[in-house]
Amino acid sequence: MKTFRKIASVSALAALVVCPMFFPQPALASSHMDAPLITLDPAANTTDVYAFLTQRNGVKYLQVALGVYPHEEPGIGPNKYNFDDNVLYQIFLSRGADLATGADSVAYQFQFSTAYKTRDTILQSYVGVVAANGDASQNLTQTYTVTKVAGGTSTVLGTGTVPPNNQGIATPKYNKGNDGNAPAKDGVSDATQLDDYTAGAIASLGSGYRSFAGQREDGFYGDINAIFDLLSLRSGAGNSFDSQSGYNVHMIVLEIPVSDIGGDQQNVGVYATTSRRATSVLTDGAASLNPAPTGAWVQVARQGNPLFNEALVALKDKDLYSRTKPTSDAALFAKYANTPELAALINAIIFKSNVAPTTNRTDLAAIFIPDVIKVDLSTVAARRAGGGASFGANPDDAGFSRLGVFGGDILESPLAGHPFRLPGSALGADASKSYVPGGWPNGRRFGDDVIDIAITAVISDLRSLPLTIRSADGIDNVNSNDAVYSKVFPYAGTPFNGRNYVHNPKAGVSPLVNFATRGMVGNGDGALIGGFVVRGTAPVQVLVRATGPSLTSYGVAGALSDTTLEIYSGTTLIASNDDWKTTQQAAITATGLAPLNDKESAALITVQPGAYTMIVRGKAGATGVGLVETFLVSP
Amino acid sequence: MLGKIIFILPHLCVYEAPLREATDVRFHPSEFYAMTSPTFRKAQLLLLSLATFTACLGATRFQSGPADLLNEAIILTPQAGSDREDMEIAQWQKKSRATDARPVDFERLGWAYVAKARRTLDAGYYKLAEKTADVMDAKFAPSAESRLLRGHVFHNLHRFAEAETLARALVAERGMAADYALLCDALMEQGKLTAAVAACQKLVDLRPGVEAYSRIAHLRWLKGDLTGATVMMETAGRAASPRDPESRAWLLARLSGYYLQGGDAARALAVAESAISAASAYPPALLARGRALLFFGKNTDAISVLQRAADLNPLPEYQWWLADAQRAAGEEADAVKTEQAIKARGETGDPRTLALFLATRGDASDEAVRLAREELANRADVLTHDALAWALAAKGDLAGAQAESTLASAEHTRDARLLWHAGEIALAAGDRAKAAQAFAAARPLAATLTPSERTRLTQRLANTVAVLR
Repeated sequence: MKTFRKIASVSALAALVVCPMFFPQPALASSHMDAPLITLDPAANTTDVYAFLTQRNGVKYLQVALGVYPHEEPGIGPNKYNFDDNVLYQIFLSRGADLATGADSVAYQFQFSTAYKTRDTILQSYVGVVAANGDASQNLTQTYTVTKVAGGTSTVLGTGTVPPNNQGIATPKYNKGNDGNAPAKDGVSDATQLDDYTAGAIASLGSGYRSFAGQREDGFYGDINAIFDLLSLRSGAGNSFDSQSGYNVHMIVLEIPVSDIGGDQQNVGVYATTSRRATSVLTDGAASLNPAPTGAWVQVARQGNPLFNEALVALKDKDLYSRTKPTSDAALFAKYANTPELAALINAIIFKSNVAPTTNRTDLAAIFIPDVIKVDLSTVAARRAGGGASFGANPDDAGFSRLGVFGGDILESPLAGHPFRLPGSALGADASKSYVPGGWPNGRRFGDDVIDIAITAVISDLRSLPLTIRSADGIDNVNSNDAVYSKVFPYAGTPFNGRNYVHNPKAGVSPLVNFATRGMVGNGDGALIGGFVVRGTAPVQVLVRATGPSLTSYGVAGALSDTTLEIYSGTTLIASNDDWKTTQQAAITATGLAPLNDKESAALITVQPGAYTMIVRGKAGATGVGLVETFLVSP
Repeated sequence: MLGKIIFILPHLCVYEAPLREATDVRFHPSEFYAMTSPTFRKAQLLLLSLATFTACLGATRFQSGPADLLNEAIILTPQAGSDREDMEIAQWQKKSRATDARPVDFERLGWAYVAKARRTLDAGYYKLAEKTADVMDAKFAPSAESRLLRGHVFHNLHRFAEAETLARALVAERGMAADYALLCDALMEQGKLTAAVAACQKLVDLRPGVEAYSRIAHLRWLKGDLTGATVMMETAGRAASPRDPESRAWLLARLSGYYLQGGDAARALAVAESAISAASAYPPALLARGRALLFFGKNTDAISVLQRAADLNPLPEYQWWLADAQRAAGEEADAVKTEQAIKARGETGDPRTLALFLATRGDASDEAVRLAREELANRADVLTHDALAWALAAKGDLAGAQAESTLASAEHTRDARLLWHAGEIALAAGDRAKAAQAFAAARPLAATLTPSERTRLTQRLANTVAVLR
């Protein structure tokens, strides 16, 4: 490798002055990564839309939620994941005649604003332990405004504050025992049991609305990897692979009083988009008053039903889907529902015969065209998922099935109009009544196993009575989420702790938690203590550095004059350093991250997966402000 | 190396023409560097005997000709290594080898090679990407996808005019955002800024996002709008994905440069460290940190960082900063050695910077002029005009230098080096007012100059202030 690098470098070309940012190219589709052009714009990349009916104190609410930022690595650091001020997040409702065409009847717009309490620090997100949302320790704080647009009129419903991401020590209240080192708390069934950050971020808006916007665990589950790896599905106990396991997303949740959108005797459609501002390439020069993007909003992503763009729309049209509205679906995308390639693939790869109908799939088109989630508001509240049928204080509601209608979870519907309203006789229920699915494709709940439901629908024949149902229960071998949902607003589970979380062990993810924290270094127990976690199964090389004197260069007052550093695995001291040049100088220098002052400390160490603690002290009793950081060096 | 291959071939029972086609010798300098890359060379050599042997035995089994066969064999040479990009290449090689391989499998393979080239800065991978486009055309019908891949390769191999031709065809055919991005890039490098701005405007109107924002930032910078460039690069940085660490690191490294130019060196340093954190051992990020450290006078620390950067990417730009750091730290012998390396190998990697370096050192001015003129034929942007102006001035051709300097200043680019050069040329030509204006404009941007350049500018300002008044 060394020789190769040496030779290889000879052939290097001068870097171009122009930016090398190139467009992401077509990837095999996977959930959360549905269209090529959006995959590298995570703040605008929609993951899932949820929509379901609840009832509280006798009042019906439509709950809608939009997730963005697929595959948020909890431990990647606090600075990476935030809503983008330059993105317009919108959730749309289609009502009345609009439902059939997918036209917008109502839009709810979320616009974010980011502020820092101080920029005189390298600690972007936290300068201490956050006791309450937006307090002095939360340096980066995002707020947002919710605006309802209907009938050409815009009404500001209110504002909210985004809680901190779950970093660990800095955000202990997300985690069990309010301990920053502990795993995240489970979801709850009672609003009084919500963690302080989540509860404090629920905003009461005008007209009876409530909203939440912030980091949550990703409630989607399934073996996306296998599905898009030529449908090479895994089977057997201990061989399940939840591709979203251990990841967070950023989520917007809005509680809509049904009375504010015309009452419960209707079906509505729900979808969401993200847009970015265009701008004028050239401003009026250095004296420009507003060089930030101020042009028109341009839609860059869209999300309705789960898996439509991911699993049914052909690669060549995925980006077209992202930038069009549901009103175009009948003309542009109906063919993908009516003649699903997925059905043909399943026949070829799994059944080896023509089991699943491959043409004239009016049943699938009824779900996906236009691609809005259809919700029957005339039913009682949807049953909600907690942590499973028998999960302690927060079990699933009685009768909840992750398979929805295919698991017998149905809701009586007195109202005609939903495409999957069926007579009880077709469902083994009261023949005198009609029913809609308890979950997707009647709305979509947290906990719906949309992969099993979708594949069941694809391989079945739901076009006429009697229905021909071929169950795909358990087809991807992932039958539950890896975290517990809440059965109360905002429903999505607590975000995973950046210091303590696990992915599916087979997930190929970066193994290290990069870490940086600044604080006062005192004597004795006043030492600055930090930690990092190495995941996976292979050792990694990390550079740990403790700095103090060089902070003065950045305007930090009272910086520690001389540092010492200790690194522990449990109670075992595995490395220590006083002045970084005394040992490993060449190796540390080669990383390009050497401390800037000879009195500062650093250690280049190779560590096995596990948790490690770093302790910074002042030499000879010195005190002052210090900084401890961890950098992944290799792999 | 190429000569050896051709020489060996007759002994391997392959006629020469197909091999010429297969190796695609065009003798553009950058092409040659790519061809001599170990990446490309290894693939060629490892497969040459296999492919030729197969061709001798029965090339008729394949629809493609021997040249296409060899190309396919080259790009499908099993990729070794365990980097993220290596695994990606291996994955798409596997899919592309399948009997039912689709165009998209090859397309993904081509972009995987591009991704590897971007991180390693090894141009050989661009050549492999180009070969992949060739294979796509040979196995399937020529497509917009293969043209976009090839255009991106041409751009990165500094074949800007060819990239522009492809981009214009793509824009006319389908006009997707990626097509406008390629067109913008090719035009920008050739100094066709008005057309580049128009292409970029189409890009951002079609698809606002990090790809558009980063290009806008650079266009604004070229137009002298540092504030607008900084804001837009910050916007791009916020939109960048952690899933694309090299792009993120590149954006942050550029932003570091903007902060340094704007006088916020502490922020420049912090952002450079963030860039290293995003992608360790990424030369542009290391260079950004080294430049910021040098500004703070931390010469020894800067040397270690710049040495690492130059080891990873031994190009004149990196070596020049290293040599200056070494000299500033009193390590004269090391500086001389580094400068010898610049002169020995600079032409192959970055002739424009070598021309600037030679002219700045007052060394080999004929050579500097030649290099700059050759570069100008392919890359007529303001920075190349500046290089030629500076080289002509070093040679004593003041009239020529003034003419080129005027072209270099045409877009009002606020680049310290360009402005300092303009001032020196104007002063030498007796145009004191213009010199005073240029020096005054260069002074607040001086943090982006190498230490020796900064010293010379400072001395010039001190020595001539009275004269200029």
